[in-house]
Amino acid sequence: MSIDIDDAVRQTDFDALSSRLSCYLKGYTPQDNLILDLIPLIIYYQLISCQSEFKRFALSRKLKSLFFNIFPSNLLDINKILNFNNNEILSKINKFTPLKSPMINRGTYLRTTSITKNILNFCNKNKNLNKIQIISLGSGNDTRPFYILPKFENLSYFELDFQFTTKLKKLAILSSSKLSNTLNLNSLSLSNLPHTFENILSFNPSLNSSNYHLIPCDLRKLNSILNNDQFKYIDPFVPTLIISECCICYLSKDDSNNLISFWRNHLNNAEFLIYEPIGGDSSNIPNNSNSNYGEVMIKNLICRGIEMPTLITYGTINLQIERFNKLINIKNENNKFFDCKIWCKDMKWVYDNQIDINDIDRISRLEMLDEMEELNLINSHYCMIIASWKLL
Amino acid sequence: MLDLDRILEDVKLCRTIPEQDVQEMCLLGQEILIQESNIQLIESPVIICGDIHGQLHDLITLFKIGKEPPESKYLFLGDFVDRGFYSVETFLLLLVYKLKYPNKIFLIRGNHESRQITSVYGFYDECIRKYNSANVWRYCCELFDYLSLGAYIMNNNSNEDGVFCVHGGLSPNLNSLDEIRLIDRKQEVPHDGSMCDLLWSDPEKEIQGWALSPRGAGYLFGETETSKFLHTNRLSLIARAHQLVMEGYRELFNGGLVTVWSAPNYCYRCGNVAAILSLDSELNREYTTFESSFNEDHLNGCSSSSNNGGDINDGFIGGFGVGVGGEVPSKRPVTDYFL
Repeated sequence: MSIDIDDAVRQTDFDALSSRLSCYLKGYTPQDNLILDLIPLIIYYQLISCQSEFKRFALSRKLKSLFFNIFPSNLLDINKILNFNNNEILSKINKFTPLKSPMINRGTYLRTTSITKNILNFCNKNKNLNKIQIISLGSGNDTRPFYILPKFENLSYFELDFQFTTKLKKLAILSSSKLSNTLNLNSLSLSNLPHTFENILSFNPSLNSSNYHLIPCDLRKLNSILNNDQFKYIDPFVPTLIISECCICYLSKDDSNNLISFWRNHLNNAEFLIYEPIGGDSSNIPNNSNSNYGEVMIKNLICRGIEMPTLITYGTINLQIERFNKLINIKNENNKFFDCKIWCKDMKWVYDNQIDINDIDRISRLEMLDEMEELNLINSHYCMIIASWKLL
Repeated sequence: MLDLDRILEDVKLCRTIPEQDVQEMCLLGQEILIQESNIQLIESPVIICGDIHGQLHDLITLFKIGKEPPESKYLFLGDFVDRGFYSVETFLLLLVYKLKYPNKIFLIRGNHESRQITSVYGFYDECIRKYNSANVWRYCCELFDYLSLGAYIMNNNSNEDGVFCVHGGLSPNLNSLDEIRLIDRKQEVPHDGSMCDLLWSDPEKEIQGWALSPRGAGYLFGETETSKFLHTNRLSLIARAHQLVMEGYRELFNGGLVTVWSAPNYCYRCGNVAAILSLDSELNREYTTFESSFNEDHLNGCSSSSNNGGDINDGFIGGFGVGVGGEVPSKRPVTDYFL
């Protein structure tokens, strides 16, 4: 992968962040309220880490519009950002604020809610244990740690991503007492934080609190994880949930499978929770236009500089199950015996079967959705995988 | 004086039509539509087309396949605007034809021909982006209020067995075509009631009688209700649109109802084919499917994305590709996914 492609993949994190902001503003995800504190700080640090003033100006316009122009205009003044009045921002949202389409909002809600639900299941079933861990691969600017960590005292949360991403997130967290307090950290005074391009360049991208860790690494280079000082904080013997929310789908087939095997070999009691698109199967549906969905998606993504190398390779539920059976379901290894389980469903199934009917009722009232068929079509091209193993 | 031929050429090339021309066209359109009844009578043969949703290039393809008016006669079942990136041009293209050949093209109202829906699904934003004001949106929405709610296609050989055409479907409040003729249609699409149902309802195989629609407006109706309506009104077919069908058209209830969908690769994302339904003078059905012409042509151009005025390419998308020579500054087709 070239730097350009890495960058395009990194931008998908902003795309997801923008979708989650839209969901929050529409009322789909009220628990995500700290997103309003995180985003302007991320924009600020992203802007000042831009070297050329002209680029910075252009980028600032793009970022503002990516986040629906809802933030007050001067995003280069951190003192102003820290004093933003969220209620005032919210009061300016009206029906003409061009948020994401209802279809994207509902899909984002589904993804966010169903993954969070599985995380909470994992934490709740292990809440009597001394220690449990979450490892989030390519976590980007996920806001879940802010509302999940405070709920579970025995939980350690690890977020792994490119160093530029972890650096900006660390800076945003340390700038805001609201954000840092949820992670058992103290915020730093602004004078102790970098505010120039050069200072940010040399700023340490790692962050560790008693239960929260930002680990800069390249998930394609397993040595960058193994040789990382922070790797020692990960305990291979406690129950661990490894999340990939649209992360490993950007890796090549070999890189993603090596990464899965890497965790399979290092942890004794863990489960993968994976959300990613599936391109569908063109081979055994004769003469059916259904088959074009994956190819159209590949073309559309190439247009944005993004590749999803395994979209077709693991394009169906069965192919994903087969994949994880091969990688995870190794019952007997080095004379150790494991209990392994593989589960995979498409997101239409998840929507129909796992989302609380009262909550569907609640979100149905938020905005009219004129796109059931399209939503069903798209949801049937995303899947949720749970693959667990446990040393017996 | 409007030069409709010039406007037709300009719209096809995606050039901006001056706001005043749009206003004048909408006023002329009102004068024609006000004379049409709630259920417009149409003589066969005719080509029936489903949702277009701002996919101008695919509409142009459709007219190539079906032959341009006045060579063929057309009925469009609504949902001209929203979702696609060229709602303004799409609607204006249909409107120019309507003004030029009022008896060769008929437009009925879809649920997207409404102020409320267009302010959420793209048409309003597109007007603001292209004209820097909401005027064009307002002129078009005022015209939408005059669109017919349905059409009846006559069988030239008999007084029976005609085809009823509507955007969505049936309503529990409406048993006969005559009841539809009594509706006062010149208003914004209401949130409920029979006018709303005609534009929002969907057929459903699994259902007996009526059920609330998951869309939040209209109803789901099953085979019994469909047969009853066909029988009461001596119809051979209900032709409707409103629902994406991957194969372009789908007949239900022993051929008593058909969904026609005319937006190929819907939203530049769904990978579906589109269809049009030709009815000959005896109302025999012939479906023609077609694929999108848009993707290949336009995707090739968009990888060299830094050609737009002063738009520094930091990898962030969402800027506007501004073309040269007075072309519409159109949003580059960036398709949303969950990434």
